[in-house]
Parts: sequence; C-alpha cells; structure tokens
Amino acid sequence: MFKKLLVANRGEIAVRVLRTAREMGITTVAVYSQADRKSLHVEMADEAVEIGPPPPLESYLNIERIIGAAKATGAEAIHPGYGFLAENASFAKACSEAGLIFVGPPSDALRRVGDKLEARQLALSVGAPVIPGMTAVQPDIGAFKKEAQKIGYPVLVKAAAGGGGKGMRVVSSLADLNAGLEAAMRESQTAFGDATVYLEKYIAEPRHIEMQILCDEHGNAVWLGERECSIQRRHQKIIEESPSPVMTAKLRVEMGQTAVKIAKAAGYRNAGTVEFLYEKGHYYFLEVNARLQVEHPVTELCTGLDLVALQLQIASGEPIPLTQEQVQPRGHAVECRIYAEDAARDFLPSSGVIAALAEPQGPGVRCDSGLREGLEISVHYDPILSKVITHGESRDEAIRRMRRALSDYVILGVATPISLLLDILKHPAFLSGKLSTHFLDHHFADWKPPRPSENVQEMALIAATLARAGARRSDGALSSKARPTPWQTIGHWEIAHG
Amino acid sequence: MKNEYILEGKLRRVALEKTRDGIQITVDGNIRSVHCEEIDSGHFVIEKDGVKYRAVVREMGDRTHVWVNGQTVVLERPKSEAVGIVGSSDSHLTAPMPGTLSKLLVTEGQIVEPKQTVAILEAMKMEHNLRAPRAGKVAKVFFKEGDVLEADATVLDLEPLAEED
Repeated sequence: MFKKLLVANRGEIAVRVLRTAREMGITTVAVYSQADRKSLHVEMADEAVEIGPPPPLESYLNIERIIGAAKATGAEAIHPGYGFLAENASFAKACSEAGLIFVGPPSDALRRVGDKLEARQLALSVGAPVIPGMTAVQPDIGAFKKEAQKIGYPVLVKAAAGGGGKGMRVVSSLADLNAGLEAAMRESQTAFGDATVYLEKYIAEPRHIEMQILCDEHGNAVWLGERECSIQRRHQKIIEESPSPVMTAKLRVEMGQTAVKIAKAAGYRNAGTVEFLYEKGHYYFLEVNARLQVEHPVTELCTGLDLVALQLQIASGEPIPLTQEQVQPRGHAVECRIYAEDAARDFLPSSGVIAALAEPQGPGVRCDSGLREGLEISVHYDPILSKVITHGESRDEAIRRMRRALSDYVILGVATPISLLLDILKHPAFLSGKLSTHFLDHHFADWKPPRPSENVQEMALIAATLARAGARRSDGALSSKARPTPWQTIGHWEIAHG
Repeated sequence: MKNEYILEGKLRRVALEKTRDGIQITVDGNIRSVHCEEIDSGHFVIEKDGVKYRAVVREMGDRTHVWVNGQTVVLERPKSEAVGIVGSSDSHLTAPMPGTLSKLLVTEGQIVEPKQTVAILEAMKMEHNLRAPRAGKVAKVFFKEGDVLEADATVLDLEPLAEED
C-alpha cells in the first residue's frame, strides 16, 4: 500500500476519502482553490496545496497544477473523488506518466467506458440490452435529424463525456432539436471540457437501477448489489436506496453478471457503477460511471464494506479481498442528497454562508458532509452540501429513520430541499415503491413547502425576539450596565400570565 | 423590547417585558404562556401547552432564519420604505440568483418579445434562461458576458415600445 495520497476534490467527497485514508494510516494531501481555503477538507488533510483561482478550469480541473501538487508533496497516488477529473482519461494518463497511481480505472478503460458511445458498443458486444440510438460520433446535425426521425421523438441528447445529468436535453420535436443540441453542447463543454453529444430514444417511465462493481488487475470481479436512484430532479438523483423495491433475486444476479461482463470487456479496474434503466420487467444498459459515486454509502451500509478502502487496495495492486459469495447485503439503506438549492423555486441554486449547523446522528444514521458553521457556499461548484444515509432492517425502518434524521438536521443560511425530501418520504407512491425517474413531475410538480403551523410561526417569532434581546444584551443596550438581566441569571424561566 | 417582523406577508409584533416575576412575552398583543430555556446563543427550547419546540435563530441582514422542529421559518424586518418588489419588474430584468453571465443574447436598442430568452446565467454548472418579462426595447445592458452577478442585480432595463407605428 502506498504511504501518501492526494485527494483531487473538494466538499463532502474529499472529506469522505480523507477519512478512510487516515484510518488506513495513509498520509493525506488536500488541494484547494482560492475559494476553498477555509474548507473542511483543507483543514482535515495532513497537508494542503492551493491550486488556483475559484473557477474549476483554473483549479480542480487543472491537471498540471494537481499533478504538480502531488509531485511537490511526494504523494504516490491521487484519488479523484467524483465529478471534476474523476472520469478524465487524460488525467489518468497524465498521472501514470508522472509515475503516480490514479485511484480508478486505467486511462484506456476510462476512455472506452467514459465515452458513452463506445460504452454502448461495448455493451452490445457482450449481449447486454441497450437503449435504441446512436452508437458512433456523428458529424453534423443532419445525422441527428435522421436518427431522431428513425427512433421517433421524444429523444434524449446526451453528452458523450457526460454524467450527473449535465449536458443532457430532452427534445420532443424537430423544431427543438437545434436548440437542444446547442444547449447540451455548451453545458457539456463547461462541465467536461468536451462538447460531443449523441442521441438515444427517450424512455418514458423508467426506473433507474444501477449495479456496483469492483474489478482488480488480477482478473477478479464482483458485483455488490444494486441501488435504485429513480427519484431525480433535472436528471439528477436526490434519493437513492438499496435494494430496489422491484428487484428479485434472479434479476439481481442477471444484472450483476451483465455489469461484470461489460466491465471486463472494457478492461475495467477499480470501483465502478453500471447504470441501467428498467421499465416493465426489462432493463437496458445506460452507461458506466467509472468512479466512486455520490450514492456509494447506500451500498456500504448494506454490505458493510468500505468502498474507498477497497478502491485504495485495488489501486495499490492488491486483489479484491472477497469473493462473490462473501458479498452478503443485509437490510435496507436510503440516501438523501442535501443540495444548496431552493426546491420551492424550481431548484435554483442558493449560495450563502452556513450560519447554523447541526447534523443528524443516531443508530443507523450516517451523514457525509463537508460543512461547518461559517463556511461560504460559493457559486462556482456543484451545489451538493452533504448526504444523509440511513440503514434499517426493512425499507420501512430505513425510511422512518431518514424522516427522523432529516427533521433533526439544522442548516441555516442557504436553502436546502429538506422539507421536500420529508414530503417525498411520506408520499404513498414512494412508500409503496411505485417509482420512476418522473416521480417528482408526477407527484410534486406544484409542490409548495408545507406552511408552518401557527404555533411554529409564533415560536419562530418568540425565538427571534429572544435572540435579538440576547444580542442587544451583550451590547449592553437592553440590560442596565453591570446588572445581568433575568434570563441570564435564571437561565430557565417560566412566564404564566393571563 | 418590541420587535416587528413580516411573516407570510403579515406584520407580526412581539414584545418582551421585564416584570417582577421574570419576562412577559406578548405576540400581537396577546400574552403567551410559555416556558423558555436559552441553550446557547441563538438556540432555545420553548414549551407551550406541553409541546416542546427546539429553535435555532440566525439573523442575516434584513432576514432572520429560524429553524423550529425541522421547519425553517424566514422572518423579514419591516422596511421603512414602501415594500419594494424583489425580482424582475416590468422595466428591469434582474438575476434570480448569483452566477456568471454566460451568454448575452441581446444588445441595447434591440426589440424583444415577451418571454424571449435574453441572457443565460450559469451557476453551479447549471444554466438558467433569463426571459423578457414583456415586449419592449432594451434600453440599457449593465453587464457583459463573463461577468459574475450577484443575486437581484439588474441585468438590463427595458423600455416600453412606442405606441405609434
């Protein structure tokens, strides 16, 4: 095992990777942009290197700077987290050329599966079911018109380098094709530095089900079970769970084996996720996410495994330490993503300072977070703040636990979707497992945050006034000079009048 | 002390008054029988009619955010001036959030149609179309592509189209 690891990411995922590295006795190096100087990941790492101005292209996407930081600090390996350079084949190549271990697949495999088009060809080659659409780069808009005509509208324009819903547009008619292509290309260029897009049939009511896999350089591969991630907004997951409510033991084995076959055909190594769409008993290969995913803790809670530890072991050349038979998931896990965004205003990103914070705890509750009070949430990066993951013996228990955990979660200063998540978690369609990627459109299109009861409103007014009085008291404005006010001395008091 | 807040569009008044027994709290003139404990600065436990409320308070500019038992309530300080409309009006188009002006699709003097996309704002890697609130002529553009905008910044001014042909 290597002795020193650089984590080329920020926020909750950098913190999560740093934790495991520290547990394994590996010395850690964080990198940060000028906007992140006071971030938790910078504070937690043994060393930290500033890599540039806030815009990602000048810092977290700057390959030269990151490799330079690894060289300067003597790090032997780089963990890319998710997003940024995680699936960038040039980065993986640059790492190996610099004599550094990239904690992820080799650059060829990354290129093969990271290019969604090549991945589709690969899946076809091993007999996996795929969604109808393009399987090669197309030179002009004419080819897109022709393909869309052939498979029929609506179609989905997707970034070949994409992931996380970025650079993706649903196009419902020929008239919208041009605009959809342009928007997808522009977003893709910004997010991934590559504007290539392709087109596939838009599946109407799919469930998103994905399979976690591990491959090592000794030819071993295992699958660790599925995650269902159908609850999405803007093609981005907000609630994930395992097992999927529609999964059967037979289908799980079939999808697990298909996933492993695709990965092996790609020469894949390390942890990865093979994503599928599922509709009416059929599943279709969607893409390979060649990285540790945001929702990996769901699998960790069900299997009891530490995926980051496994990633580091595999990257250092060790074999996968368990067989397929030893993978024995237990119970049910649910994850809710906490973004800085306003669910009541069409999920507009919200920036600001974390003014108050209390994160949920308790049995079966995990909170992966990069937050602390006083942290500024900048407009430059993905708005994910943290993730709450709960585990229970049953789906019902995991959900009840999540509701409890979310209603304990205090975040003031930026808008979060916590009240929306709480409403989803008690919706009858969610509780009965009737999910699709359009769940929110179907059930929450006109959602408004629940109106606080009159009692809650009054308590807010009273608390705000008490806090204001307290603030003025410390200025000496309300209290007489040296004499403490009653609520300072009594601390605990009661008013019963009227 | 007396405090006023706007909550759900209504003016609410809270008063704390020192009495011989402690502090009397009134909300909109009605005396409230509550039991309070200050856990920490801006952190309270308030009991009313046998129900316990945990409350965390943070003042941020004109707004006070209060977390109460899992719900966040935003209180606004009443403004001395007439209540202004936050967001885009008929003659100004403002940014609904902070972000980078990634594309400016109109120039000064250009005539725009209602709902026409006039600019694209990008924040946290997502694009948001800014649309004209009504038909009009672009009177003034305040930013150029690549500029970083704060929330509520006026992006451009629109002037009404002349009545005559």
